[in-house]
Amino acid sequence: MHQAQILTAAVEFAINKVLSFDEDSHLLLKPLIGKQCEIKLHELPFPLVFNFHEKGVELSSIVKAVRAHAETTGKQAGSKSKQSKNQNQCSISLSVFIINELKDTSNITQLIRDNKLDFDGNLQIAQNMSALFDGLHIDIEELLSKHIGDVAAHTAVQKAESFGQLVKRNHKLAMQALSDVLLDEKPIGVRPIMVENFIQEVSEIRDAAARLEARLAILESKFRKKK
Amino acid sequence: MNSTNETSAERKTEEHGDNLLDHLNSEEGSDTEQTHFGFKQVAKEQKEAMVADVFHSVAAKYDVMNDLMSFGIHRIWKRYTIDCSGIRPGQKVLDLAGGTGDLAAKFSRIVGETGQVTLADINHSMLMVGKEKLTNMGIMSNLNYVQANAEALPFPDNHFDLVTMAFGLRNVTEKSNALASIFRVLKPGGRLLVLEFSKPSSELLSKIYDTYSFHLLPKMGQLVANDAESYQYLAESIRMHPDQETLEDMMKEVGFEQTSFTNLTGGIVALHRGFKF
Repeated sequence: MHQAQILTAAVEFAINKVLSFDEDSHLLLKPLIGKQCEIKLHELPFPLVFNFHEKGVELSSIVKAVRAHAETTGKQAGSKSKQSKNQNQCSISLSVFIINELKDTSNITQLIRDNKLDFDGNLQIAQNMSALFDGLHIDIEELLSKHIGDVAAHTAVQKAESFGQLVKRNHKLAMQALSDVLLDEKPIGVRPIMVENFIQEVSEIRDAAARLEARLAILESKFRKKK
Repeated sequence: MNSTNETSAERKTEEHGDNLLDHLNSEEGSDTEQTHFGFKQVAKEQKEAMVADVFHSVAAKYDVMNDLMSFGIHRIWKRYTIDCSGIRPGQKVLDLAGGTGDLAAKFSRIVGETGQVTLADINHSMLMVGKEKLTNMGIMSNLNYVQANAEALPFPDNHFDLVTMAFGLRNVTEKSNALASIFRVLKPGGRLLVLEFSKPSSELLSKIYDTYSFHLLPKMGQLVANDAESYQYLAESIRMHPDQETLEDMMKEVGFEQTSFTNLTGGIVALHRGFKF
């Protein structure tokens, strides 16, 4: 019933925790203080409203009925409220599946044209928000060492890094193999029509062999009678 | 304690029924000048001081007890209230009976530097606990603290974009006066959100809830806050509070429009909304 509130509480907690891990996060937060960014994910029935402050982010949602009411009153309020929205607020509507594509800024125009991305308000807020999450530097080893000691933290991080590299290497090899199959093997591979043709030819040879066998049997019996 | 329980039982039989509105109307009539304090009848002028005593007593452990009594669900109810507020940066908010400032903290961060949040409570102890908590959270610049009676708010007309009152209205002696006072300080287009304990929608839930609040709650209060009577009052005051429809009617009577309510957790709590146009 309260999935929006539970989700926003969990995401807010996670983001603020991550921000607290980077001592310099306040520098990235500074241009966002007092700004609001509303993200409407196509996969979620409610928007996520990020309100930035000195200590982190306050995440809330908007109940459907309230959103409808705000849209009605917003239309009546006219240009003044619209102008203030442009300065301190921005609104982004997108699918979770295109978030990765946003990293390449040259894609943005095409995504907007394809109606996969909609944007309203101050673009600078979205850029600062992206810079905040991209620019975080979290020293996991340092954080772990406070709880499990320096040596154990160093070993754990090294093991995790080598495991990550192993996964990355295997993933790269798998991708390479897949690409080889698709680019080199597939064009010279047997196509379905060739298989069909082969089956038909085998069937014809089997029939011819059967006919030959029958003729030999007749000739053999004729030869025996003459004898 | 025993005498309170006896009184509670008698009152509950006599008065807690379908005619709660009639009961409230009669109690607020000028003939007797009596009102309820939990299930007890007291003189109207006494109630304010008695409620004040309750909150002086629980202020220090208020947040811990809230988490314990509601199993943390009060945080979800408050988040839902914020999600219903439609508040934007630069707006003015009054968090009435704001207690330890849970809602005010969130509103302060949403309205930003250009907005203004006023945390008002009639009880000085609660206000001080709230002030200390919010100051420790680093929330100062856009927040005012005002000790105020909801029935006579010391603010100009048409001043706030939003007024919220979470778990406070049931302690007010003259609820209609408080609603009228809130109506006065709201800007045209502004909204009131009242988050308050209400009447569970299912009979079974109601029985479980009664058992919990009349038997377990005072014991928890005794154990954690060393104060069973305040939590006995809490349970009784919830039962004496108008149900969802009655409160909505009261809001309409003072002039609120487009009123509605949403039951939360099976009606244990309800969020009422109303607009001033």
